[in-house]
Amino acid sequence: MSAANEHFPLVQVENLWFGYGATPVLEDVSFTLRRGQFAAVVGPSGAGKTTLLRLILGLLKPNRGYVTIAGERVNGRPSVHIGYVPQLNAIDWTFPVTVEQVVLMGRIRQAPFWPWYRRQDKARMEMLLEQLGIAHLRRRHIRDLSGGQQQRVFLARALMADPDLLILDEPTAGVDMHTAEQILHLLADLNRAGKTVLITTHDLNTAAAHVPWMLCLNGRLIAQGPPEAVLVEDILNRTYRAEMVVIRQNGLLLVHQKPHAHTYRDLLEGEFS
Amino acid sequence: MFTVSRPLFWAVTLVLFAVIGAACGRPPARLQEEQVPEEGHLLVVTTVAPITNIAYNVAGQAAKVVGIIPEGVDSHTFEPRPSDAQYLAEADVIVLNGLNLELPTLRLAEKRKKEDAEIVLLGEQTITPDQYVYDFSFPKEAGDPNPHLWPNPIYALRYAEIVRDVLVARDPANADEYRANYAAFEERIRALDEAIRRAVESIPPGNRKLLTYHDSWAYFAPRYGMEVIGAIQPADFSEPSAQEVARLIEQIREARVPAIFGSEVFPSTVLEQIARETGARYVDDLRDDDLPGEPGDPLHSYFGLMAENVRIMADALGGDPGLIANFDTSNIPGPDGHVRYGR
Repeated sequence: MSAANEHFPLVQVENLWFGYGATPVLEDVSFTLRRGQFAAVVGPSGAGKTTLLRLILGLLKPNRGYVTIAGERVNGRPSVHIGYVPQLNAIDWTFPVTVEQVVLMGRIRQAPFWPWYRRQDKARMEMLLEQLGIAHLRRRHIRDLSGGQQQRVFLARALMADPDLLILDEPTAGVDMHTAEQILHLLADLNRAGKTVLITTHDLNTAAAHVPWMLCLNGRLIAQGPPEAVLVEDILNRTYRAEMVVIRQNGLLLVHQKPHAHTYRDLLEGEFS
Repeated sequence: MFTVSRPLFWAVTLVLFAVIGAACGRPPARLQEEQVPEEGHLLVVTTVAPITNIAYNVAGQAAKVVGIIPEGVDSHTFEPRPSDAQYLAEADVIVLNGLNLELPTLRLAEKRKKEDAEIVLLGEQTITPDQYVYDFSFPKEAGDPNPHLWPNPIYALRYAEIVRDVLVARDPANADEYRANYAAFEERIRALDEAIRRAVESIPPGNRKLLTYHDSWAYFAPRYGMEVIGAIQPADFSEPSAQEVARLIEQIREARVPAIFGSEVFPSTVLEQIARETGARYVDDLRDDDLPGEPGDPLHSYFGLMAENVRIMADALGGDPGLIANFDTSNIPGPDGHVRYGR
């Protein structure tokens, strides 16, 4: 990375406004990520998490405000500094490609004009498949993999171009708890090795245990900070617009929506009495 | 039939546009919610941004903190402006680094301050003359010791303690807030100290050397076992002579320094040239008196300043920047977007 880029935070989101129609999805969101940070955007469905990622990636154009990546204004196309892992359910799993082919696609933006892969691309793919523990799956069709394995394949693809910043949209959605743990540990390792990592998640408890910095989003940026600082009832109630409880025990944090004061039977009786 | 006259139509339209424009053009509030101290609170006037920020971390919302030296301006040569004189005249407490860093401001403060206002010189209350460091940019003959105490977090903590004591004495009604802020600040400083120690220890021992443009690391380096092998800027804040540059190149080759550091406040073509000739990497973004990020951003803090500096050092000298990259840099009392940093 060039010295000049170090002047800037890696990601700078400045007074960002965005709406698909008349109602804004994001209102005046500002934050920065410095190099080497591992951060999670949390918030309820419809809070604008994915929209925010799409603006950072340059796939959407803000109504107001701007995003810079390593000091360069994002303008209509993804920055070369970013590796992106989309939500698994956004991928067409019927498309007939193997693990190897998907991972090699990650090279395309840096590729020369001719359409075949270079030796160093293959070598890098081999290394990443090994590193992510999916080398034995290389010739498998991506449809025939488990959620955790699929996540790793797309992570490998994102890592092919050796980006400074990894962005993952809901990497723990649709996988079981054990796999979610593994994915977050893998991201923590990549972060320790120098990658800046930004994820979205609605799984507060898993994020609290694995991610050192949280951005609480619900249209606006409600708060940001380490999990201990932002996972407090006041901030969560405003983020989720619901009553939340936070339980702290032996350094563990547990967040949940406040249990309802009724049961199914109560509802039935209320309905029929 | 009802008709609207043309002038009336235009008048109504203009008013409408003005109203809509005012509603839309309102500057958006900065990040999250900030509590801005009300009028009538103690006014604390400071100088450079790190000290302004340390003072804010102690004062929180209970006192108003105003820094007068803009970020990115050379503090050694800063001359206060008329608007600064006004702040100094209204201040209840004037907090300076001291050790002759801000002499013009100190003179102006003495002349303009309210009778019962207090001038606090932090450096003089932090170390004794036998601990003063004289070096490349601050030679003994010139008489002024190196004033950059704050890059040493333990000295920064002492700065905070001095500010706390002054605020508690001048404003006992808010003593609890000042004490609580200080306690949280102390805890974070201890964590920072530990994170820096780990990050520096990850640098190969032979690489724990600092060659910088401006000599800001004299009190930082010894605490973490780093060596300041030189600074390039001569005592009169000019550019070094060709002879001095040649000597430095020799020195860098001998010491096998992998990287040399500049700062954004003092861009230097000389450093670039030295890096080219010695093959060392030139890293031009260490900071000593401008904080990273913008006011209101959690990175814009004393913690952000130090975490970023050490991350950059570790990265350039072959250490592990990940050991400090996720340090919590947010300000203890919340975002600092309402604090004036000389602008």
